[in-house]
Amino acid sequence: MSDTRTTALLDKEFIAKIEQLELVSRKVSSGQTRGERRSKRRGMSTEFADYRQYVAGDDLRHLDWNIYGRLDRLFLRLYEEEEDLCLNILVDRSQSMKFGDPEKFLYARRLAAALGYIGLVNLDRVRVCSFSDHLDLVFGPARGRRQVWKLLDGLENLEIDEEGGTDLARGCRDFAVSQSLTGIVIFISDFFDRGGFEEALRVLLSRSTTTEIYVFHVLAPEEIDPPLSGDFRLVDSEDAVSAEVSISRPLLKVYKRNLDAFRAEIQHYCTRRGITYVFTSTDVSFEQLVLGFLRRRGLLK
Amino acid sequence: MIFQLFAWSLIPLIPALIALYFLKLKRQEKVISSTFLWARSLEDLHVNAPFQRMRRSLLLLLQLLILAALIAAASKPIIESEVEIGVSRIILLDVSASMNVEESGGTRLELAREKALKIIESMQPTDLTGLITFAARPKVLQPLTTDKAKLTRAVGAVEGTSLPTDFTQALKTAASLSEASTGSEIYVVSDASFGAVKGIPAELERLDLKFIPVGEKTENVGIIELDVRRDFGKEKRTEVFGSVLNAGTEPVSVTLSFFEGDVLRDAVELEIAPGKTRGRVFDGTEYVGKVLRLEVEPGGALGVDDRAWIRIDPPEPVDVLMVGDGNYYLENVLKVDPMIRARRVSLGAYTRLRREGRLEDDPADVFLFDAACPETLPDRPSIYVGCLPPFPELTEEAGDKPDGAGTEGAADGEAGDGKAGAADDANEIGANEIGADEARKAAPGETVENPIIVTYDEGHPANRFISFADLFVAESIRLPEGGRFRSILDSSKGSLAATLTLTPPGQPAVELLLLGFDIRNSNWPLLHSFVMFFSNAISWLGEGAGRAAAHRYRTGEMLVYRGESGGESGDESDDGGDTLVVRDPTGRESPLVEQATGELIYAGTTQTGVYELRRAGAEGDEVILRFPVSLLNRKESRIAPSDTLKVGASAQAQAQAVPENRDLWKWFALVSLAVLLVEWWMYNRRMTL
Repeated sequence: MSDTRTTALLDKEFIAKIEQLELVSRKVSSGQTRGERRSKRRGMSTEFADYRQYVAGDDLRHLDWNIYGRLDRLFLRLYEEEEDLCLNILVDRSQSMKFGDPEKFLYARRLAAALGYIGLVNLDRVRVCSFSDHLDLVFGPARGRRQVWKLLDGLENLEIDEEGGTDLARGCRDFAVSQSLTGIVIFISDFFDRGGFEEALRVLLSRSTTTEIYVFHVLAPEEIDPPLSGDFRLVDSEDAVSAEVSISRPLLKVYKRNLDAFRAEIQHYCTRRGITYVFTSTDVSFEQLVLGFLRRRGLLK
Repeated sequence: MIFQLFAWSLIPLIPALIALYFLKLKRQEKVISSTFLWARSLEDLHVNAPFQRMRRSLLLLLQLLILAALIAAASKPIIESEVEIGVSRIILLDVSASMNVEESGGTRLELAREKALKIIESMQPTDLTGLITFAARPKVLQPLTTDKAKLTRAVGAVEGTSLPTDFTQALKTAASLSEASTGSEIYVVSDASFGAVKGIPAELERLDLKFIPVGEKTENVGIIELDVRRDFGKEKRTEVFGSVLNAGTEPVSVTLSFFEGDVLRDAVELEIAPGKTRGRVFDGTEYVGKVLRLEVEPGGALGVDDRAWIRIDPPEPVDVLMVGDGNYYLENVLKVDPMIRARRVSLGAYTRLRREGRLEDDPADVFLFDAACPETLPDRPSIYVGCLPPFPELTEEAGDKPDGAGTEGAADGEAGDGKAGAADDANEIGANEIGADEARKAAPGETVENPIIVTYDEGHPANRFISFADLFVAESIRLPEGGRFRSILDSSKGSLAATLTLTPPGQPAVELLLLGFDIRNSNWPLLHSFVMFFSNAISWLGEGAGRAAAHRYRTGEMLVYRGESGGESGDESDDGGDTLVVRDPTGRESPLVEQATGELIYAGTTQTGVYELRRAGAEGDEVILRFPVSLLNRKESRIAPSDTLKVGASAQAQAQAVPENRDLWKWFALVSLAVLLVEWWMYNRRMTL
């Protein structure tokens, strides 16, 4: 791990703070390899799980001879299986993400880096993808602390797609079909897509019922409370659609009302489908979000 | 409602405004992450169709409303007055002197002009309207026309005058002008200060008069009389008499100043009660031949009557026509006084001239009948010496011999040349008879002998500075006394000299002086009182003949110039190539009009002041004569306006409002301003894009 390169996204103090954290998955899912997570499968761990009757072919090493002595029946001891956790992070890198102070894209990458770091440190399988109007693999899937620098390097070198717009649905579809989404899916975006967000979330959900999806809705303070007044010709950074507006207090009220409605719409959609919706502004301290808010929400412990 | 057509040319501004709306103002361009949420807020931004934009643009609608209101205001919409359509209207505009009164909004004439313009404005396109101004004479400024522009120009050309008012003539002119059309309305725009108009033909009373009153002020002080008179009580004193009227309702204290040219010569303070007149006499003896001015201050609301001018000319010699066969003494005594110019004709010639009517043109101011009395009474002041005119009193009292007395007198006169030397005897005889019984007095018209002079009227002008103490008369006709006869020389045997005033019907009064005795029957030619008496008597009678030495004219009067040598000025101007012009007080010069009689007249005395008759020749201008023109009109000085116009015995026109159209453009302009304010407020509230 290169300390100098990581400082752009995660500084040392922060890394030290998240070193002890681990991702929490409320759903028990099946991993791909043995890991440190309790699996649905019965396996080789030392943790007793259950008994079942012996059938021909079972490993005789797992017979409970004490039971056989008392009951004269063969029962097999079943143990918990511990597998790894899949952490899939999907970062929006459309042009709309480069706005804001602090920049939304930087905020999203730092969040991805922090969560990925925690995952790798806890031997979770981490995959990071980015999307604009198409999907790009940024990192992984990989596990282990040694992959951390690759993760950070990948995220640090990740750039805004200057030509692509936002296509949430396509990004999520490609993301979902490229690999099983069992585990935790972290979806970081500003959700500025004229095509809507519903299709994207629906695709993510359809891939697995055991997938635990976290939606991070990141907006810049300028988008939450636009510091504009007067006559403007607003140009969309992605599709160059312009809007001539005379920004006034009533119009700002309408805008905020629409923003609230937009947020509520996403939140409502997510809540009904078991998706955790986290709205944040880039002026919210990143440290506070990860160490405070996400721990309270149960993503980290 | 009527709109000015030119305003319709502004209507293309509406599409221009819409086009401007599409062009819109240049906005600051700003790239943002996404217009996604803005677009949600501003759905109309996605709609590119221009009319869908318009549909939502309240500001554009407001701007269109403002523009429409402005166009409507520019079109000067008016609500037409309630005047009948198709009638002809004649505007009678008063331009008399009283219209010069300064009211709060300008002079009455200016206010009248505005009202006349409003009447014209209310004209329908098919209406015929004419304009007549009136003062001393009416003037048709614009015959009936439908052309508003012509009428407006005519009203603009109306000039004020200082003339008196003759409303009857104005009505006659208006009636003749309106004959061409039926149903004419006559709008009289005036202050009606001239009062009720009486004695007008009945057809004028039937005119449809609509009175538009002008003016409010009532307080005025003005000079209404200015004249010169000779004071016979003091020798050669010339008095200037001025009279000031307080036409207002409050007592006033004014200063009446007397100027020679611009030099103040005298001034008096006058307290004048409301409606009263006060006069004052100034000594004008030293200013003979000058133009004098009276000025009253403060003069009230009307200015033109605050000043009056008069010119005092040196008295001209009195022209005396002696009728008789010749009288050495009388003819010589008349030559002594330079102010007497005497001629002699015989009684027969006089009678012939009289019969042929040629005597009326005779320039004689006074007839002197010397012992030759005509059978008819004279038509101008006369002195009878030694004979009497044919009076009824003489006929009744002297029996049937009135002519005989005259004849005898004449005969005595003819035979009396050698009797002057008998004065001592007469005196003696007269002295003896002083105590005689009154009953022995002869009847009037009878001849008395040796009358003794008892007394004489010292106050009579003819007796001024005279003593009759040494006068002895041998024989005289006793003159009637009492009644219309005023004896100025009484003797022990009755009146020897008397005056009386003849008042022939329809003619001016004529003063007669009667001397009962032939001067050749007395010692009078030897006495200095003889010269004095005839000088005094002819001066007195000549003055009474109307040969006034003062010249003053009223506005509206014609100035007549007969030339320096009696009506030859026209020839003079033709021969010399000089031009005679009259320069009015404003400095405008006008030529004189030559009459068939050779007189030059000038009729443009519309303003007060001194008019100069000038000769413009090669050697430069020369002022020949000055004509002082003043208002001097009691009616015009009474400026109080009237609410009603009384015409004839019954017709009255009540004051009414001008039938003006109501302008609405101000309201439209106000609406546009109000909408503009609303738009500004809405723009600042950012209610919409």
